[in-house]
Amino acid sequence: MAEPLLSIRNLQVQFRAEAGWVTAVDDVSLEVGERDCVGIVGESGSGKSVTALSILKLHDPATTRMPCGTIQYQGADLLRAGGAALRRIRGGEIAMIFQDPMSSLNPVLTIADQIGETLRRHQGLTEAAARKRVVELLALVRISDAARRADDYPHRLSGGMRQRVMIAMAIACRPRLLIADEPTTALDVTVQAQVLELLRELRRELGMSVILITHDLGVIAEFAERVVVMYAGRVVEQAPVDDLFRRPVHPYTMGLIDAVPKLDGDAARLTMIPGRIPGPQEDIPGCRFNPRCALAQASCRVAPPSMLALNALQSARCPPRVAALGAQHG
Amino acid sequence: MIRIIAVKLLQAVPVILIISILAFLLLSLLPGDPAVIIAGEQASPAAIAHVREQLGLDRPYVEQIAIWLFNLAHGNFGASLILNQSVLSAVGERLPVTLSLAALSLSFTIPTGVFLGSLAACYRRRWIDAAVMTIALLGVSVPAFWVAILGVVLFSVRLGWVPSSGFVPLSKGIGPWFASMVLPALILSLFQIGFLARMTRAAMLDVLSQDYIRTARAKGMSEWQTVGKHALRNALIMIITTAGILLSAAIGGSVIIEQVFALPGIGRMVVQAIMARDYPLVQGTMLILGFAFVIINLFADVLYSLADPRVRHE
Amino acid sequence: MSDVAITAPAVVAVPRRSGALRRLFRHRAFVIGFCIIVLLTLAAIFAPVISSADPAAMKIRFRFRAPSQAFWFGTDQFGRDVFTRVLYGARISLFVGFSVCVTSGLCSASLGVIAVQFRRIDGAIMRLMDALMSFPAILLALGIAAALGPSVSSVVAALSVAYIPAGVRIVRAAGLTVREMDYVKSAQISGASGLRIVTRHILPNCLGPLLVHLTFIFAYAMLAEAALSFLGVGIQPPMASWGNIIAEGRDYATEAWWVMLFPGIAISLAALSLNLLGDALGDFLDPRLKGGG
Repeated sequence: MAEPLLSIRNLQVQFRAEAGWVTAVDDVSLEVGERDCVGIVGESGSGKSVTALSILKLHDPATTRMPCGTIQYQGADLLRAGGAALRRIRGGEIAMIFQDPMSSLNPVLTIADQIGETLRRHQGLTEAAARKRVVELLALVRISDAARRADDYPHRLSGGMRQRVMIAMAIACRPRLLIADEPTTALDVTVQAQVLELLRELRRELGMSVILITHDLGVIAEFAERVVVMYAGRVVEQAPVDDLFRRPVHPYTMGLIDAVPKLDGDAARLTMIPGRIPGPQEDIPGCRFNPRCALAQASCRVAPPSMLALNALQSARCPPRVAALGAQHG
Repeated sequence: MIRIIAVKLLQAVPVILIISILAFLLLSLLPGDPAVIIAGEQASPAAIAHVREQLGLDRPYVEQIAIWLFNLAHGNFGASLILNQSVLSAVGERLPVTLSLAALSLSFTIPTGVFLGSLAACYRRRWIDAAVMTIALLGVSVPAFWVAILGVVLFSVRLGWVPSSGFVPLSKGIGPWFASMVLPALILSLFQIGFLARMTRAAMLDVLSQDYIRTARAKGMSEWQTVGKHALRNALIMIITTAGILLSAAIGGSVIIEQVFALPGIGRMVVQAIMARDYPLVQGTMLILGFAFVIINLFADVLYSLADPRVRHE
Repeated sequence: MSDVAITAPAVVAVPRRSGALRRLFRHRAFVIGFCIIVLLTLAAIFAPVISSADPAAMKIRFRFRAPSQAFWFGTDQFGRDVFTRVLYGARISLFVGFSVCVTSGLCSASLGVIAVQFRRIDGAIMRLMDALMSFPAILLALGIAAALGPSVSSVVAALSVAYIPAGVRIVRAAGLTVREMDYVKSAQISGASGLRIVTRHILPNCLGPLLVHLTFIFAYAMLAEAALSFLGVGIQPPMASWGNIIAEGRDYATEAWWVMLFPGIAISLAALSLNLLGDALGDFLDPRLKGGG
């Protein structure tokens, strides 16, 4: 891969709690190339949304800090970017859509106004030109009767329609990177498929890179090219999507894949990972997955493991498994 | 929306009826015979009998209520005992004073309160927030009549900037009118600014934590646009629901302020009527004000329905 | 002094954690408010111990003395010691504030619970409350106090009535929300009596919002009492109340500023401390609105 579009290095995110700062995301590194589609997967509480929000610095600065790490976008560190530079990138270069389309749209502004202000902000369009473009965008995200819909308020639209509006808003200025944070989670199953299909088509048409955040491995399998698995605020495995499903390295990834219902319908094979994800303030010595891990060894409880490469494309934060698999192949 | 307004209108009907009966019952709170109390302990039996007959106190209770409601339905709110004038005309004469005081004070209150509250919410936990909230807290804690007296001593007696008391009607020119009203209106707005700033801050904090604010930021909107357009519009809808309270507090507060500045408004008239035991005037004025507030609250409800597209398109 | 803040009817139970009280005492606003109000209460209770002077004793010889070592807050037109009068005024003001709190609190809680439990008369109760709420609280209290005649008990009665409607709305809103909770519905289905549902579920959940509201009512009632006394329909001279000391000092405000200055500061301090307490309790019971956001 040539110079990546976006590269996150050793990102750490901390939130203010009653008893000081707690670390929600630690040592997260990932890269997104031109026209790349990276899926970030993990349970809720794994830090995947926190990571995504950090890219555009959307956390509340009063209660959040990012003490170390860099987020490089086209040679500039977004974490150190401020004011005008950051606002030019937000919505213009990097756009984001969120999980809940119900609450993510402003209830007192029309659709046209909300999409149009992005265009006016970044492309300097006039009111009339922006409106014309809004109707085109709504048609592009397959909203029928776009001209009339543009003047509606969000509450008049269904959940799937609202997410389409969010997508139209995000792609309005032809961003080079789209961050989709659980874009289908709040939607009905049938609508989920339509929205994913729309995202796939738009990605091809517009040639943008996508970071897709989800807890659903099924969505990842369909959509992503590369996968980043997160657990308890850390990246535990990175791999191309086919390699990940064919040969998961980290025991947590294995557990996740086993928890996906298979179409052959053998219910006995559907297993769950015992226990629950630890909160950011819980202090677990060694590997943060070790209390739930069937393969845990004594060494796993001593020092926090670092990411180890199995090969050029796949790496995982599990020294015993990487060593075992490496020996098999080597 | 029409349906919501219709329901509110229907609800207002029993409220108006209850207010009428409550106002009637006010007289029966008087310890002892109202006729004796109104006429005075030393009044002659003939005078007492005259009062009793004039107020219809010699009739059965139910009949009194019926007559009272019948008169109200015909726009007859009773007559003052001392002013030689009907309650309606007495109130009408003094209404401009009270209304202009309330209006002027609200014109100070609303921009200042909304601005301070938004400022505090945007800079929460910083020194601006602390400073604004301290001012707001003082506003709702300091008795207005006391500040009014201090204000008169300072600005009228010591500095001579404004007249210490008295009312100049608007017809005598806007300058003199403003000079006579500005200090009372400012002092009246102190409590209101504090109240509104606290309300606005709470509403803004609630709105600023919503997802659509994050969306606006993610679109690259400036902080000014995010707060001024996306947040404030939503917060204002919540604030509109307190518009009725604000106006009612402004008029309630003017009762006291009028007393300090000797402004010939409704509040001063009520206090004078109480001192003179002109209970029919007190009763009638309270009733008119009660009706006025029912209408004001109805307007606030309609305004709210118009402001919120979710309600407007119901 | 004008009207009642409609605190958001958020349904929050009083946290029963053991550290709750300690956490409350770590809240700066709470500690400041608590200290001021405790000091004022102690001053009111021990007024005769703190000052040996008689609040009503007139010594024309000493009239209009400026604040000095002998007369901390100076003397008024009758030569009475203003410091002593402010101390004794605290008794009246705090008594009125507290009594209004308790009376209107009990009435709002009962009416609110009745409105929640007996849905058929809910409409009637709420229309009555709407009617009372159509009047600015101070005006309603003025009318009632005027009809009852000037005395401590009529001021308490008038203010209690004036502040009941807002309390009923808060209790009712909280109660209706709790009633819709699944655990209350399931208790109902499993045959819990109405009384049990009220005492076990509805009352405890209304308590938090009501408590916050009543703290503010305490402050409003004291300010309103002062206003009523200032207007001459509240506490009558020679009994000292902060409001009527200011009213008496008003005519001499230019020359003898101290007569009206100190009682005003006393009211402001008392109201300030209660507002601080109310804010702190509100934060504590509904941390959503705390600075954090």
